[in-house]
Amino acid sequence: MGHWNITIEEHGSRVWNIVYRILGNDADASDCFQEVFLSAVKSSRKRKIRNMGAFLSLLASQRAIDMLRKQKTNIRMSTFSADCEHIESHEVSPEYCMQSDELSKQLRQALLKIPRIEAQVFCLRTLNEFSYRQIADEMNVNENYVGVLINRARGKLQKILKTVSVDYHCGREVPHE
Amino acid sequence: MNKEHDILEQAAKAFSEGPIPSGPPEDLIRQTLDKIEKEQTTIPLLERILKMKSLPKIAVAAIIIVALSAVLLFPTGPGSFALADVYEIVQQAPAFVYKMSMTMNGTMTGSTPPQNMEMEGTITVSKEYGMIMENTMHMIDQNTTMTQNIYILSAEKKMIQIMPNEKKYITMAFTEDLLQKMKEQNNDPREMIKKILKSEYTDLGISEIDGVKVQGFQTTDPAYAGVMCDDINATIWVDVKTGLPYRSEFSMKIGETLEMQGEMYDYEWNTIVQADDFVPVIPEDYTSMGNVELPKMDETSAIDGLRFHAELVGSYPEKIDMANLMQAMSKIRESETEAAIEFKKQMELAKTEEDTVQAMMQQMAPLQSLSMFYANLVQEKKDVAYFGSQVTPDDSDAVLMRWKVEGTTYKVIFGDLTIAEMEYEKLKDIEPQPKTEPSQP
Repeated sequence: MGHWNITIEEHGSRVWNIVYRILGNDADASDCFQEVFLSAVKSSRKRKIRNMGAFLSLLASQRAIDMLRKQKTNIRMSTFSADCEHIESHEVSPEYCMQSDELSKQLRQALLKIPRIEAQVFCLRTLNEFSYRQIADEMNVNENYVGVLINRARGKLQKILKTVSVDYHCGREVPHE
Repeated sequence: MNKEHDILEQAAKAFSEGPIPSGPPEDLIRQTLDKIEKEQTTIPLLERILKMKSLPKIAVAAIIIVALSAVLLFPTGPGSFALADVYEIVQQAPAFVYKMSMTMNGTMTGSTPPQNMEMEGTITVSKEYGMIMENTMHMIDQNTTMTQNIYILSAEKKMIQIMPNEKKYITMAFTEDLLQKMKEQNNDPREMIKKILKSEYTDLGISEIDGVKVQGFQTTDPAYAGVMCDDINATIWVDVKTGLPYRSEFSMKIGETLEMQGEMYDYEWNTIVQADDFVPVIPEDYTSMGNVELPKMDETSAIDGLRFHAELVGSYPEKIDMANLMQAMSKIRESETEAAIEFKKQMELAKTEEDTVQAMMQQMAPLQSLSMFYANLVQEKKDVAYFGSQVTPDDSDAVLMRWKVEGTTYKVIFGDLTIAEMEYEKLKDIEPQPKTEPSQP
């Protein structure tokens, strides 16, 4: 097994952070976490991976988005109360947690409606704060193309989010005027 | 900041910074390491069988045949689909996305080094706008990876191939026929089903993939791929619940030396696309490799292809598939015909890479036309026969190629490249004896 325990130690929390934020629940995030590392093992047999951290981030975004798109019904998407029970921070108020959870859910739903590559690039930029150059390098595409994809993604996500806004205080969805 | 922008900013902030449980949990790390260990010590069953030196190859073949028979004999359960119904359902999808992974082993010409390659791609298809293919290819022998984005734009009837690694792009114009061919070559599920429907196929009955109940349809009919390929095996698995393709697989042999296999998966049948998605993104610092007119696919172009080959190397091609035609092209180097000398001169004149590509595409177009025209006749089951191994340009009255037009009427290309229509009764008396008996009309 060699270095994989060290690799998980070094990059595991970053991968977990990405897959959990995209999938929004323990069960799917755990499945996806395992899938990411197994894919990395297979890929490393075929070619030399020059930047394992960046490679795992890309893989985590790709796999999590694929998984999210597969289970469009979001049967396993967790509820606010289930999620917040696991959050250890004492600085987070239940209101903030609820609002944040609701907004994240909306964004997840919106990501399902845009092309996969745009969703991936958006997540790499938003969750990893990857630069255009880093995304371009990892995805083996041109930097300008990354810019175009991000702009397209943002434009579409804005339109989708505009259609539904949420009354965060009572937690119910109302149409946006 | 406007309200729409604000909504996205808020959502993105919550998405990236909102509280989540810390992780990964210890038991997840342990489970992952266990799976990695298992993965590293497991070799697929078939690979293990094939590695057993003591096991005769015939036994391996028997195991595979028995396994395949078991699948083929799987009974069709209730709630099954007819493939024609699936085709109708698929036709209604305005846009969809799927992934394709493919491996290619061997070489196209036999004389060149092997080009073992793995490819992964995402294909977006829109009824209204066209197709986008985003492919990443890993050349195993050279250990290099390259990407290409291909836009097939229905309205403009053109294809733009962008190669980010090289910062280059090429534009090609095409006809409706060629648009169709592009769809087929990329295993567009609509075309795949249409071609299976036209071929001899087997209903594999109900099975299960990833916990999804699916129904399989498989063809090994050579007509599925035309003469471009041998040993074809194409299977499409349809989700019984939705009636839409869930997964497809294919394997084929091209010529004697090239094998390909691939799978299409992760179909998304409710994708939303916009016109903007189909605007090719070509950065300013990319250079054009030219505008190429793609070859035609009619009988006149096919005759031009036969003439071109004869003028170049002094004979007609023995077989008209692209692999054989490419092999024949390697003979040009030694050929001293007037056309071959001119061809070599034209290639030497090309000063830039763009000139070389243009010259090559232009020079090779007649042969591509010939190959595609023939492949199309095979696919259309037009009872096509070709006698290039027996007929030379001097055999002016001999039948070089023939195909059915309608009923018992055939079109015939003679050794002097004239063309005529003829009834089968008369044709059968004058055509050379083929290696396999042609079917009766």
